[in-house]
Amino acid sequence: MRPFLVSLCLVLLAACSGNGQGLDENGRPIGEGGGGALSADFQSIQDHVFTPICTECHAGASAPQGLDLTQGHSYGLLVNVPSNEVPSFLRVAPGDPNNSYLIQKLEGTAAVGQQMPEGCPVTRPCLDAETIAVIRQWIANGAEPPASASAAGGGS
Amino acid sequence: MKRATMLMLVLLAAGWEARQPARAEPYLAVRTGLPCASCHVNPTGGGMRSAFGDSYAQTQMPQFRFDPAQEKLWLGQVNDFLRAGGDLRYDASFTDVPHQKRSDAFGIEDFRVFGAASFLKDRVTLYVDQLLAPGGALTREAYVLLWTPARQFYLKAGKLYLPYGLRLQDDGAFVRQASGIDYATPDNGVELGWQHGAWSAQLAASNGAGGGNETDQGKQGTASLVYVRPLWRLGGSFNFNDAGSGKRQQQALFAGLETGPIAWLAEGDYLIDGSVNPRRKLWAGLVEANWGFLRGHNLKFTAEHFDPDLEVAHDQQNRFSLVWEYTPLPFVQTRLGVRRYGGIPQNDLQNRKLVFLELHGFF
Repeated sequence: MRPFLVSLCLVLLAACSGNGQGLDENGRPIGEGGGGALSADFQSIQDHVFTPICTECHAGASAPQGLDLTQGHSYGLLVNVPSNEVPSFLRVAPGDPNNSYLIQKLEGTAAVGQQMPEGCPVTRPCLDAETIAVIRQWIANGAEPPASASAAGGGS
Repeated sequence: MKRATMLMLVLLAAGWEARQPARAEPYLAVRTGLPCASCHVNPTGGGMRSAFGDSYAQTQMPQFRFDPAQEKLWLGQVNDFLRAGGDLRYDASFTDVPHQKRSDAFGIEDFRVFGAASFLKDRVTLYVDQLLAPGGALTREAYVLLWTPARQFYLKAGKLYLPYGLRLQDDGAFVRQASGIDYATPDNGVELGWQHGAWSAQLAASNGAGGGNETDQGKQGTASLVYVRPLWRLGGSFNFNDAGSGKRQQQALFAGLETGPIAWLAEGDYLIDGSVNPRRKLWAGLVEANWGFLRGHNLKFTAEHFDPDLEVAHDQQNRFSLVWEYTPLPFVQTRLGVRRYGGIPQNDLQNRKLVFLELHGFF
């Protein structure tokens, strides 16, 4: 019992979280991007949804389903790209949020796999209806790319 | 004495899998001093339990155990050629995210069924691991497994979990999340396995598309080497993914140690991710203590640390979990847990708390 408690104390002392000094809400240096309220444009959705929430898993070369949602990759892997799980649906079908697989995954109506973010609503909150409505609006507006070409990026 | 002899016979009869290499549910393997794969059909652990694993779940894990002298054990055999198994985790949870309305929910956390067909016993196995819920059905693993006659080498081809690090049950662990190699990201490819005494190794080549369709010419390579002794084990893993979006390299060191009633696990991962701009270096670590304080009871404490970009200061995250696992009867477990996330104060999700009660049924 004693080694158990001693070890717990050591580990607790060793692992401190960052104080966030000089960082934005995504943990990136202030000025790198982001900020402002969520709005129906891609960069805002990237900054408020994809980067802080989705990239916990959907990041890097081995992202689930090959869907890297980090800045610079997400747009090209979402818009007009067939989903892996149900290829008859595009991940984002411009102008058609109901038939966009991204929306189905966020709302939990997809035919395959679980609702995203993974674990919601059991181990973490799902996206609230207002946030999904903003993403729907962006898609309904034609799923326009961000103004910056580097932010749009692309899939391979 | 008669009962003990009978139990030994059952375990031995069921225990052909114990000769297999690699890892299974990590803390149980450390506690028993056996390779994890002793309890799983999959040579690298996880998924369907072997006959030995099923036997262990009935005669060793629970508070009130089956007596093999009195009761017939379920050893996973449907008939001489087919095996079946399953896992259901049903949760009641309470989540507290700063500045958000507290939420509670009932829900299926995970429901999977497993099937294995071995028409050439000990040599050829067709295996499937199917997720049924939550959401729609999804194939996690589906492969053919070929063993050499002496079972020193195997070849696995299909959709498979990659052999990397500790195969933790918790996909949300930082070491799994950062590495991107977990139960949610099986990949299509081939895996070659080898075992010799206390040593085992795996080498896998796969698409590197996280289970999705291949979209580029690059491939992913994964290698793992493990040394298992009765009271401790040590392993290392390496992964390289040459994806269209950039190259990503990661390596892990992991270990297990038994000290009296406590089984320890540890893993550290260092990643260099060139698929993001600018290139990032990350590190994630985990220490877990499992205290078997009473028969059928396990108290699990986990401390985790994650630095998502070593070039950026003050962005570290941690995660502490305390979970009481109680297994009153064979194949039935309850888990009561608390998780506390710690991160930068600007990000509410990185500072959430979770309390959950889980009913885990398996066979």
